[in-house]
Amino acid sequence: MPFMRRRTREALAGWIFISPALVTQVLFIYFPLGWSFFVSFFRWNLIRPMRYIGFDNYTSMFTSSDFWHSLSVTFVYVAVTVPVSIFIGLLLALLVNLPWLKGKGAFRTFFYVPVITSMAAAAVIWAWIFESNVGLLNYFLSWFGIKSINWLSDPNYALVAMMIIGIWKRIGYNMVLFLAGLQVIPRTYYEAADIDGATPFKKFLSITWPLLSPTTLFVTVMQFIASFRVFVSVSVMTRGGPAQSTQVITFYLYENAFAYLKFGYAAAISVFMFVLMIIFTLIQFRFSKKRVHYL
Amino acid sequence: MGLVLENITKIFRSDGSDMRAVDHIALEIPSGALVTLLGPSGCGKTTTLRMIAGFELPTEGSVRLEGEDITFLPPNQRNISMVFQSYALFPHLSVEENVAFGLKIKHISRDTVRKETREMIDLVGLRGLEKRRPDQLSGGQQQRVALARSLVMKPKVLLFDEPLSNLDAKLRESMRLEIRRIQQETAITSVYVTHDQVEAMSISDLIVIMEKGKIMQKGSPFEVYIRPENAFVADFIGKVNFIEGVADKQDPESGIVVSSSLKKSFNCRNALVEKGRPARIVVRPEAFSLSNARNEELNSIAGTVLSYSFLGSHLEYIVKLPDGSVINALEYNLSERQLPRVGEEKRLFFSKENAWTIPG
Repeated sequence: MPFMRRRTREALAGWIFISPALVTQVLFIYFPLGWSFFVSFFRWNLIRPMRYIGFDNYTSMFTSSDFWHSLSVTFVYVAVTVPVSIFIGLLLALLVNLPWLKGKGAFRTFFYVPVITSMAAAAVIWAWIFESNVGLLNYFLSWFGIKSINWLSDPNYALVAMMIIGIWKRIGYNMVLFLAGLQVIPRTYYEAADIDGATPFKKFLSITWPLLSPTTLFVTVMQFIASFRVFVSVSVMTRGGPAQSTQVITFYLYENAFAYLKFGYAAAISVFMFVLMIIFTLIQFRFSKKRVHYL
Repeated sequence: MGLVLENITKIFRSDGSDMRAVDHIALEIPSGALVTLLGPSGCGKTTTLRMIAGFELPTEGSVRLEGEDITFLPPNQRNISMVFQSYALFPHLSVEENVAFGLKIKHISRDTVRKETREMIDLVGLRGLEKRRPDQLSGGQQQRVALARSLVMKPKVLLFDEPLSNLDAKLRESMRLEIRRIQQETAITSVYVTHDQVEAMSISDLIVIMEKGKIMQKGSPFEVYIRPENAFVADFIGKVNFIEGVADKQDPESGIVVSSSLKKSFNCRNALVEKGRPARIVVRPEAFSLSNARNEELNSIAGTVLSYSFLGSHLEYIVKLPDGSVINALEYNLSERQLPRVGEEKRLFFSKENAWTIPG
C-alpha cells in the first residue's frame, strides 16, 4: 500500500495482528460483562420488552432465602475443594518431582488427564461411580465395612460427591503448576541446607513452601474462581438437589435465567458473583503480600 | 595436613556414555591455607569442590580431612561450609535469620545463636543491616551474608564456588581482599574455585591449575606465573609469548640454548627439555625491553611495530617478527618522545632470567 504513510501502515498491521484476540475478548468477555450489568437493572424475560426497574433485582436477590442458601452452599463447596485440591496437588507435585522416581512422565499424564476430560462426560462416569447399589465407590467402601451411601440422593452426601468430583478435576492442574514452581527453586538452596544438616521436613518448611508462595497464591486465586463457578457436575448429576443441597450459586443463576426466564434477576446474580470474586481476589493478594517471596 | 584428595576421579554416566570430569587428582592442602582451583569452564574444578563438599561421590579415590576419611560422609557430617556462586540466601529470611539458619538446625540455645550470629555479622561488616532481606542488599552485601552464614558454623574447611562471579569488577576487587582478610583472621582451610586468574593470583597461598579433569600444575602464584610447566599453564596465567625452537645444548653457565625458527639461538633459564627435542621459550610481555638499536645480541629479536596502544601506565606493542610470528610486548616508564610509529623497526631484548623453556 504505497499511498499510506509508514506509521499508518505499521499501526494498521498492529491492529490486524491483535484483531482475532481483540474481537474474541470484546465479543465474549467485555460485551457480555457490560450487557449483564445493563440487564441487571431491567425486568426481562426475552418475550416482553425490557422494563427498567432500578435496583429491584438486587433488592430481591438480597432478600431471597434461596439466594443466601445457594451462596452458603457455594461457600462450603469452595472452602473444602480449594484447600484440599491445593494440598493434594502439592503432594502429587512433590511426589512426581522426586529425582529417583521412575516413569514421571506417565504419572504426570495420569494425574493431568482429568483436567482435559470433558466435565459433562466425566459427570456421567462419576454418576455411575456414585450409584448407590452397583457403584464402584460403595463397592470399594464395603471392603472397609462401610454401609452403602446414597451419594447423589442423600442431602447429607450429595455436596460431598460434588466436592470429590471438583477435587478430582482440579488436582492435576494444581500439580502441574506446583511442579513448575518446584523446578525453578535453585538446587543450591537445598545444598546449603544439606550442609547445615536440615531434615527433609525442615527443608520443605524453610525452603520449598516459602519459595512456592507465588505459585500457591496463583493456584489459590485460580481455584477459588474455578470452584466458585462450579456448574456442570451439578447440572448433569443432581440439578441442585436433593432438597437444594447442591444448589450452588451458578446453578441458581442458571435456573432463574433459563427455567424461570428472569434474565434481569440472573444478571444481577452474575454481577454480584463478579464483584465477590474481585473482592476475594484482592483480599488474597493483600493478605499474601508479606507471605509471598519471589525468587 | 588439613585436607587431602587421594587420587580422586569422577565419571558421570549418561545415556550409556562416560564423561570423565575429574581424572585422578591428588592434592594436599595444608591447614589454614587458601588453595584455588583455577581453570576454564568444564575443567573439573567445581566437580572437585562438590566432591569435597559431599554433593558428589568420587568414582575412585578418597577425601581425607585431618586424617579422617570423609569420602562417604553426608555433607552435614563433614564439618565443611560452602559459599555458593549464587549465594543461596533464603529470600524470605532476614540477614540475621539467614546467618542463624544452620545454628538453629543444630538446636543450639537461643542466646548462643544470637551471640554467634551477631559476632559473624560484625566480622563481615554488616551491623545495622540485620533485619534486611537479601533483595534489599547490594551484591557485595549479599556476598558478605553468604560468607557469614558459612563461617558461623565454624567449619574446618570453607569452600568457595566462584563467589565473586556475579559482582562488578570494582566490587570483585574489594571483596576478594575482604575474603582473604577474613580467611586469614579465622585461619580456616579454604578451597576456592574460580576461572579468573587475577582473582586466583591475588588471594591464594597455592594455585592448582586444572584442564580436562587433570591438574596441569600446582604452586604458589609466583611459581605458576614465573615457572609454568607447560604451554597451557603459561597461556592461562597472564599474557605470554612463545618462541618455537629446538633445545640445542645445555650449559650450566648459559642455561639451555634454543635454536628457533628465527635462525637464532637464545639463552634460556631452565633445562626441562632434553637436547634435540622441540622447545618453546616462554617470555612474558613485560619481560621485553625495546630499543632502536640495530646491533645483534644473543637474546634479542628485530621486528616491525604492527600497532600499539597507550594504556596510561604503559604501552602495549604488537611486533611482527621476520618469520611472520607476532610478539606482544609492554613498555613502562614512557615519555612522549618515546612513542613509536607503526612500521618502525624495533629490537626486543629479554634476559636469560626471563626466558623459560617448556616442551614444544
